[in-house]
Amino acid sequence: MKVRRRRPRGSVEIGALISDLAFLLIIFFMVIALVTLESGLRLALPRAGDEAAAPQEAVLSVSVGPRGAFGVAGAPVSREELRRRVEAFRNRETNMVLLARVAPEAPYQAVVELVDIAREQDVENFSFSMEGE
Amino acid sequence: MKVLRRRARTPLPIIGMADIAFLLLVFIMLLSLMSYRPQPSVDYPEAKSVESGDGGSALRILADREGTLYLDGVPGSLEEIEGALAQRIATDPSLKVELVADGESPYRHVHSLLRLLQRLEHSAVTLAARPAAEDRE
Repeated sequence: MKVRRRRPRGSVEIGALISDLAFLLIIFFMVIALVTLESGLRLALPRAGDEAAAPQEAVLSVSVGPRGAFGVAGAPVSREELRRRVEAFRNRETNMVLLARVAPEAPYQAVVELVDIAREQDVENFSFSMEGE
Repeated sequence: MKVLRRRARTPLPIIGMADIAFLLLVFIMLLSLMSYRPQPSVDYPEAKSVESGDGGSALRILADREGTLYLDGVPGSLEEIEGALAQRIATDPSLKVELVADGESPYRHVHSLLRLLQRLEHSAVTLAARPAAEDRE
Protein backbone atom coordinates (compact mmCIF):
# COMPACT_ATOMS: atom_id res chain seq x y z
CA MET A 1 0.00 0.00 0.00
CA LYS A 2 1.20 3.43 -0.86
CA VAL A 3 1.35 5.75 2.11
CA ARG A 4 1.24 9.40 1.46
CA ARG A 5 3.34 11.49 3.68
CA ARG A 6 2.21 14.98 4.36
CA ARG A 7 4.95 17.48 4.41
CA PRO A 8 5.11 19.27 7.74
CA ARG A 9 3.85 22.76 7.37
CA GLY A 10 6.37 24.85 9.11
CA SER A 11 6.21 28.20 10.75
CA VAL A 12 9.96 27.64 11.12
CA GLU A 13 10.43 28.41 7.45
CA ILE A 14 8.84 31.82 7.92
CA GLY A 15 11.27 32.57 10.73
CA ALA A 16 14.20 31.55 8.57
CA LEU A 17 12.88 33.67 5.75
CA ILE A 18 12.47 36.73 7.93
CA SER A 19 15.93 36.34 9.43
CA ASP A 20 17.43 35.95 5.95
CA LEU A 21 15.68 39.12 4.88
CA ALA A 22 16.82 41.00 7.97
CA PHE A 23 20.38 39.86 7.37
CA LEU A 24 20.31 40.99 3.75
CA LEU A 25 18.87 44.34 4.73
CA ILE A 26 21.56 44.86 7.36
CA ILE A 27 24.30 44.11 4.81
CA PHE A 28 22.65 46.42 2.28
CA PHE A 29 22.46 49.35 4.71
CA MET A 30 26.02 48.76 5.93
CA VAL A 31 27.33 48.94 2.37
CA ILE A 32 25.31 52.09 1.69
CA ALA A 33 26.57 53.69 4.91
CA LEU A 34 30.19 52.91 4.00
CA VAL A 35 29.76 54.39 0.54
CA THR A 36 28.32 57.66 1.87
CA LEU A 37 30.85 58.08 4.70
CA GLU A 38 32.81 61.25 4.07
CA SER A 39 36.48 61.60 4.79
CA GLY A 40 38.88 64.47 4.57
CA LEU A 41 40.75 67.18 6.43
CA ARG A 42 38.64 69.13 8.86
CA LEU A 43 39.63 72.71 9.46
CA ALA A 44 38.26 75.90 10.91
CA LEU A 45 38.42 78.85 8.57
CA PRO A 46 39.05 82.28 10.08
CA ARG A 47 36.08 84.58 10.04
CA ALA A 48 36.38 87.68 7.88
CA GLY A 49 38.60 90.15 9.69
CA ASP A 50 40.12 87.59 12.09
CA GLU A 51 43.20 87.18 9.88
CA ALA A 52 44.42 90.69 10.63
CA ALA A 53 43.88 90.13 14.36
CA ALA A 54 46.52 87.39 14.63
CA PRO A 55 49.90 88.63 15.95
CA GLN A 56 52.58 88.62 13.23
CA GLU A 57 54.99 86.47 15.26
CA ALA A 58 52.36 83.70 15.41
CA VAL A 59 51.93 83.57 11.63
CA LEU A 60 53.94 81.17 9.48
CA SER A 61 53.60 82.16 5.87
CA VAL A 62 54.05 79.40 3.31
CA SER A 63 53.83 79.98 -0.42
CA VAL A 64 52.62 77.42 -2.93
CA GLY A 65 53.90 77.98 -6.45
CA PRO A 66 52.06 77.33 -9.72
CA ARG A 67 53.69 73.90 -9.95
CA GLY A 68 52.96 73.02 -6.34
CA ALA A 69 56.39 73.85 -4.91
CA PHE A 70 56.49 75.15 -1.34
CA GLY A 71 58.40 78.19 -0.14
CA VAL A 72 59.05 79.77 3.25
CA ALA A 73 60.29 83.37 3.54
CA GLY A 74 60.87 83.50 -0.21
CA ALA A 75 63.10 80.41 -0.31
CA PRO A 76 61.95 77.09 -1.79
CA VAL A 77 61.70 74.20 0.67
CA SER A 78 61.16 70.48 0.24
CA ARG A 79 58.22 68.74 1.86
CA GLU A 80 60.46 67.29 4.58
CA GLU A 81 62.02 70.66 5.28
CA LEU A 82 58.57 72.24 5.41
CA ARG A 83 57.46 69.58 7.89
CA ARG A 84 60.45 70.40 10.12
CA ARG A 85 59.80 74.14 9.86
CA VAL A 86 56.14 73.77 10.77
CA GLU A 87 57.03 71.50 13.68
CA ALA A 88 59.64 73.95 15.00
CA PHE A 89 57.24 76.88 14.62
CA ARG A 90 54.45 74.94 16.32
CA ASN A 91 56.74 74.16 19.28
CA ARG A 92 57.51 77.86 19.63
CA GLU A 93 54.00 79.21 19.00
CA THR A 94 51.35 76.78 20.22
CA ASN A 95 48.58 78.95 18.81
CA MET A 96 50.20 79.47 15.43
CA VAL A 97 48.39 80.43 12.25
CA LEU A 98 49.47 78.93 8.96
CA LEU A 99 49.03 81.45 6.19
CA ALA A 100 49.03 79.82 2.77
CA ARG A 101 49.82 82.15 -0.12
CA VAL A 102 48.81 80.12 -3.10
CA ALA A 103 49.34 80.77 -6.80
CA PRO A 104 46.04 80.71 -8.72
CA GLU A 105 47.28 77.91 -10.97
CA ALA A 106 48.74 75.80 -8.15
CA PRO A 107 47.32 72.27 -8.14
CA TYR A 108 44.78 71.79 -5.35
CA GLN A 109 46.68 68.64 -4.33
CA ALA A 110 49.60 70.83 -3.16
CA VAL A 111 47.29 72.91 -0.95
CA VAL A 112 45.83 69.76 0.58
CA GLU A 113 49.38 68.51 1.19
CA LEU A 114 50.23 71.73 3.00
CA VAL A 115 47.14 71.44 5.19
CA ASP A 116 48.00 67.79 5.76
CA ILE A 117 51.54 68.61 6.93
CA ALA A 118 50.15 71.24 9.30
CA ARG A 119 47.39 68.97 10.61
CA GLU A 120 50.04 66.35 11.41
CA GLN A 121 51.59 68.94 13.75
CA ASP A 122 48.16 69.74 15.26
CA VAL A 123 47.98 73.17 13.66
CA GLU A 124 44.38 74.32 13.85
CA ASN A 125 44.38 77.85 12.49
CA PHE A 126 44.60 78.33 8.75
CA SER A 127 44.32 81.27 6.47
CA PHE A 128 44.35 81.16 2.69
CA SER A 129 45.21 83.92 0.30
CA MET A 130 45.65 83.81 -3.44
CA GLU A 131 48.48 85.63 -5.17
CA GLY A 132 47.24 88.64 -7.11
CA GLU A 133 44.00 88.80 -5.14
CA MET B 1 -28.12 19.65 18.41
CA LYS B 2 -25.57 22.26 17.61
CA VAL B 3 -22.61 20.93 15.78
CA LEU B 4 -19.41 22.88 15.95
CA ARG B 5 -17.65 22.92 12.70
CA ARG B 6 -13.96 23.43 12.69
CA ARG B 7 -12.90 25.82 10.07
CA ALA B 8 -10.48 24.42 7.64
CA ARG B 9 -7.04 25.93 8.22
CA THR B 10 -5.76 27.83 5.26
CA PRO B 11 -2.10 27.08 4.71
CA LEU B 12 0.30 30.01 5.16
CA PRO B 13 1.58 31.13 1.78
CA ILE B 14 5.29 30.77 2.37
CA ILE B 15 6.17 31.23 -1.27
CA GLY B 16 4.22 34.48 -1.19
CA MET B 17 6.36 35.65 1.74
CA ALA B 18 9.50 35.13 -0.30
CA ASP B 19 7.98 37.24 -3.05
CA ILE B 20 7.24 40.01 -0.55
CA ALA B 21 10.80 39.85 0.77
CA PHE B 22 12.18 40.12 -2.74
CA LEU B 23 9.89 43.02 -3.63
CA LEU B 24 10.87 44.80 -0.41
CA LEU B 25 14.54 44.52 -1.30
CA VAL B 26 13.93 45.81 -4.82
CA PHE B 27 11.85 48.67 -3.41
CA ILE B 28 14.57 49.76 -0.98
CA MET B 29 17.25 49.51 -3.66
CA LEU B 30 15.17 51.65 -6.04
CA LEU B 31 14.56 54.16 -3.27
CA SER B 32 18.31 54.52 -2.71
CA LEU B 33 18.84 54.90 -6.45
CA MET B 34 16.34 57.76 -6.53
CA SER B 35 18.50 59.79 -4.16
CA TYR B 36 21.57 59.08 -6.28
CA ARG B 37 22.81 62.09 -8.20
CA PRO B 38 25.38 61.61 -10.91
CA GLN B 39 28.39 63.82 -10.31
CA PRO B 40 31.42 64.59 -12.42
CA SER B 41 34.27 62.24 -11.78
CA VAL B 42 36.75 63.75 -9.38
CA ASP B 43 40.21 62.47 -8.61
CA TYR B 44 40.36 63.23 -4.89
CA PRO B 45 43.57 64.72 -3.51
CA GLU B 46 45.55 62.49 -1.18
CA ALA B 47 46.43 63.21 2.44
CA LYS B 48 47.93 61.29 5.35
CA SER B 49 45.89 62.71 8.23
CA VAL B 50 42.50 62.02 6.70
CA GLU B 51 39.68 61.82 9.23
CA SER B 52 36.53 59.85 8.58
CA GLY B 53 33.23 61.63 8.91
CA ASP B 54 30.81 60.77 11.69
CA GLY B 55 28.21 59.62 9.17
CA GLY B 56 26.04 62.72 9.54
CA SER B 57 24.83 64.53 6.49
CA ALA B 58 27.13 67.17 5.04
CA LEU B 59 26.55 69.68 2.31
CA ARG B 60 28.82 68.89 -0.61
CA ILE B 61 30.20 71.67 -2.75
CA LEU B 62 32.12 70.32 -5.69
CA ALA B 63 34.41 72.10 -8.13
CA ASP B 64 35.47 70.11 -11.16
CA ARG B 65 38.62 70.63 -13.22
CA GLU B 66 36.93 73.18 -15.46
CA GLY B 67 35.73 75.20 -12.49
CA THR B 68 32.05 74.24 -12.73
CA LEU B 69 30.52 74.34 -9.27
CA TYR B 70 27.93 71.91 -7.91
CA LEU B 71 25.94 72.21 -4.72
CA ASP B 72 24.81 68.77 -3.63
CA GLY B 73 25.11 67.57 -7.20
CA VAL B 74 23.23 70.48 -8.78
CA PRO B 75 25.37 72.77 -10.97
CA GLY B 76 25.16 76.48 -10.28
CA SER B 77 27.04 79.76 -10.39
CA LEU B 78 28.93 81.09 -7.38
CA GLU B 79 26.10 83.55 -6.70
CA GLU B 80 23.46 80.83 -6.83
CA ILE B 81 25.49 78.65 -4.52
CA GLU B 82 26.02 81.56 -2.13
CA GLY B 83 22.26 82.20 -1.96
CA ALA B 84 21.40 78.54 -1.39
CA LEU B 85 24.19 78.10 1.12
CA ALA B 86 23.18 81.21 3.08
CA GLN B 87 19.65 79.81 3.39
CA ARG B 88 20.88 76.44 4.55
CA ILE B 89 23.25 77.95 7.10
CA ALA B 90 20.49 80.23 8.41
CA THR B 91 18.28 77.20 9.10
CA ASP B 92 21.12 75.06 10.42
CA PRO B 93 24.16 77.00 11.70
CA SER B 94 25.97 73.75 12.59
CA LEU B 95 25.76 72.57 9.00
CA LYS B 96 28.78 70.58 7.88
CA VAL B 97 30.24 71.70 4.59
CA GLU B 98 32.49 69.48 2.52
CA LEU B 99 34.59 70.93 -0.28
CA VAL B 100 35.32 68.48 -3.05
CA ALA B 101 37.74 69.30 -5.82
CA ASP B 102 39.99 67.41 -8.17
CA GLY B 103 43.59 67.18 -7.01
CA GLU B 104 44.75 68.47 -10.40
CA SER B 105 42.34 71.40 -10.59
CA PRO B 106 43.83 74.89 -10.14
CA TYR B 107 43.52 76.35 -6.65
CA ARG B 108 41.59 79.41 -7.87
CA HIS B 109 38.44 77.26 -8.24
CA VAL B 110 38.60 76.28 -4.58
CA HIS B 111 39.67 79.70 -3.34
CA SER B 112 36.43 81.32 -4.46
CA LEU B 113 34.55 78.74 -2.38
CA LEU B 114 36.74 79.30 0.68
CA ARG B 115 36.16 83.05 0.41
CA LEU B 116 32.45 82.43 0.03
CA LEU B 117 32.36 80.41 3.25
CA GLN B 118 34.30 83.13 5.03
CA ARG B 119 31.84 85.76 3.82
CA LEU B 120 29.02 83.67 5.23
CA GLU B 121 31.01 83.32 8.48
CA HIS B 122 30.85 79.56 8.25
CA SER B 123 34.15 78.26 9.57
CA ALA B 124 33.67 74.48 9.86
CA VAL B 125 34.74 72.93 6.60
CA THR B 126 36.13 69.61 5.45
CA LEU B 127 38.47 69.38 2.50
CA ALA B 128 37.52 66.04 0.97
CA ALA B 129 40.54 63.80 0.50
CA ARG B 130 41.39 60.15 0.34
CA PRO B 131 44.06 58.39 2.38
CA ALA B 132 47.52 58.62 0.83
CA ALA B 133 48.60 55.56 -1.15
CA GLU B 134 51.10 54.30 1.46
CA ASP B 135 48.40 54.57 4.18
CA ARG B 136 45.94 52.49 2.21
CA GLU B 137 48.33 49.57 1.81
